[in-house]
Amino acid sequence: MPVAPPIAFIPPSAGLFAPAVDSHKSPNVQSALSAVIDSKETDVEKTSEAAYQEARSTAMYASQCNQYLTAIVRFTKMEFNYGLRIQELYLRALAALGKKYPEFALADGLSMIDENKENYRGYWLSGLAYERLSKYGLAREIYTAGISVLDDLLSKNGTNFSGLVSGKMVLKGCIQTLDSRDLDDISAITQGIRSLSLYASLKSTDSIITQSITSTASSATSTATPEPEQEQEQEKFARLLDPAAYLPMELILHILSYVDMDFRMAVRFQSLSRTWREAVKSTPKFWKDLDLTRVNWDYMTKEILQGYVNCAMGVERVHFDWILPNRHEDDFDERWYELVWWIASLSRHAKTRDGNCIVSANQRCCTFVLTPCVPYLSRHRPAEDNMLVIQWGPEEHFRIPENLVSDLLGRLASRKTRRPGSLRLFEISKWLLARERWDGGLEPQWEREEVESL
Amino acid sequence: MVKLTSSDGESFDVEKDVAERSVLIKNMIEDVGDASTEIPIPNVTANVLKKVLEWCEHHKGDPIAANEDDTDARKKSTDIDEWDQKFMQVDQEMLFEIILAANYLDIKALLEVGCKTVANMIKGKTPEEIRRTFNIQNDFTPEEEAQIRRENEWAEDR
Repeated sequence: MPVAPPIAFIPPSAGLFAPAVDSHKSPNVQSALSAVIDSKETDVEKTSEAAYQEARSTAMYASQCNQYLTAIVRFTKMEFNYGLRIQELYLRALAALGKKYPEFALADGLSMIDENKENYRGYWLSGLAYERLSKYGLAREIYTAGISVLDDLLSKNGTNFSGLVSGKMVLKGCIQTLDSRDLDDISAITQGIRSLSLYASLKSTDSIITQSITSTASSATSTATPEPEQEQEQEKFARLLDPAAYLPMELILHILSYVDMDFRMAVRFQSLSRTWREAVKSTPKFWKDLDLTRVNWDYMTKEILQGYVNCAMGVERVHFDWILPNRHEDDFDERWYELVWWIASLSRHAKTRDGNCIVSANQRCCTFVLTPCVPYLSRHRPAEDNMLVIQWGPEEHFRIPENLVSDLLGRLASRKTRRPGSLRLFEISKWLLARERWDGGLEPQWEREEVESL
Repeated sequence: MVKLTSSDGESFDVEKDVAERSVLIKNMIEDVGDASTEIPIPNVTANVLKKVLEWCEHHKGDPIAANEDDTDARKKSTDIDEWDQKFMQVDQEMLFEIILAANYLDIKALLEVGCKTVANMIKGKTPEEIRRTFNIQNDFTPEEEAQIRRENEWAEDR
């Protein structure tokens, strides 16, 4: 969707009070003027993009803090000012579902389908919204439509597109959920067709739905007389048993002990069923090693992470070398400070238990995350523990006394930039501890014992 | 010979060293003191007991695992002996019954094989595939499901 330049960012010189331009100027002056105008337009575009990103960031923050109404308002404001891209439509629809405004979510979901028919999320959200509106028939149709679109794409492009495959599986899962509701499909579809007329303006989406209704109707006719093969299939399916329903919990946990269950997989397992969720959540060992290296940070919040940590009864390790793989330094907001502060506080907790620091970070992480967090850390350190501890690599630990952190803050505050992205905490702390300026060339004399004794 | 009686009343005459693969039966024989006494196995049906005894017969010469503190390497390995793999090619109900019986009869090696078999059915699969493999019913409410999806969004491939 094209981004319209916001009125607020048009410079005053370009408005009513702009100097009068004589249209009969010489070609040189004309070209110079057009160059100036071009450069201003570029500036406007840049400013516009920055403002867009800022608005997006604040809206996303509200969304991820479960402040759904605020998020919806912010995204809607964005829509008026700049228009919404598909990702923002998605987030607003999620917020609308969270706030129990399924009509809003439906409108956004259908817009997403119109925008990009190949993105499963549009079908998924629209289906969820229809479910909330008790229009189960339509929900099923939209899921089916999504699956058929993804199937077409997969047949054209092969199965190498994991996004398409996983999208298809999500939609199939939704249909299975619907099936388990034991619905009266005919009445649901009738209800769905009736409600279709209410959304007549969304013609392109309607055509997809109508097509899928036709295909489903024909398949429904064919299923009216079950064939022996189908019966065999159903029989085979009926013989499949949920281990969690058949075996006691201790045996389920024993089975899971043979599965290489990492933190990420444990999270995915939670979505199987209530019993599986309980089994996975009640196994602390799955949650002790929080590998955040492959986290999609657009969707991670402190509350979610806190939930996982609560399952662990003592986290042993948090690993996040590639915490912000595609993020620019300027993308930081308070959320990251808060999250990293909280992770760092876990480090302190673990240290008191077994003497090991659990936060491990690589250079990039220190540069982009821990360094800007230093002010936040120092502000929240409890009085009884006045050391900031950061592990650098597998072996090195840095313990920075609070008074030196204050010193560090003072020096950082004097810098032109608010966040010293180019400075590494590693270098700064060495420099501070050595009590001499380190220019990066000459390694300061620094001994671990000295640090310990400080 | 030892006489075992299943929950549905069927009797099985088995060699003592075969029966003693089960720690439970071994202890019962020791308690009774007379190997000729009929030993009831009230939690295991005849068809399952027959299968369990088949496994015990095949493994009667194997060394019994010393204790429960498995090493990490052994714990993590899900390799299954070829014969055991074929032995476990049964429907899911029988597989779970064997696991339950092995747990009840305290036959650690058989329990391990059973659990590894199930673990191998889970390994490398997406939740949706696992759900299909075992016909796991999604019993979340729509609200819970949406919440779980939202919580799990971060774990999707980037």
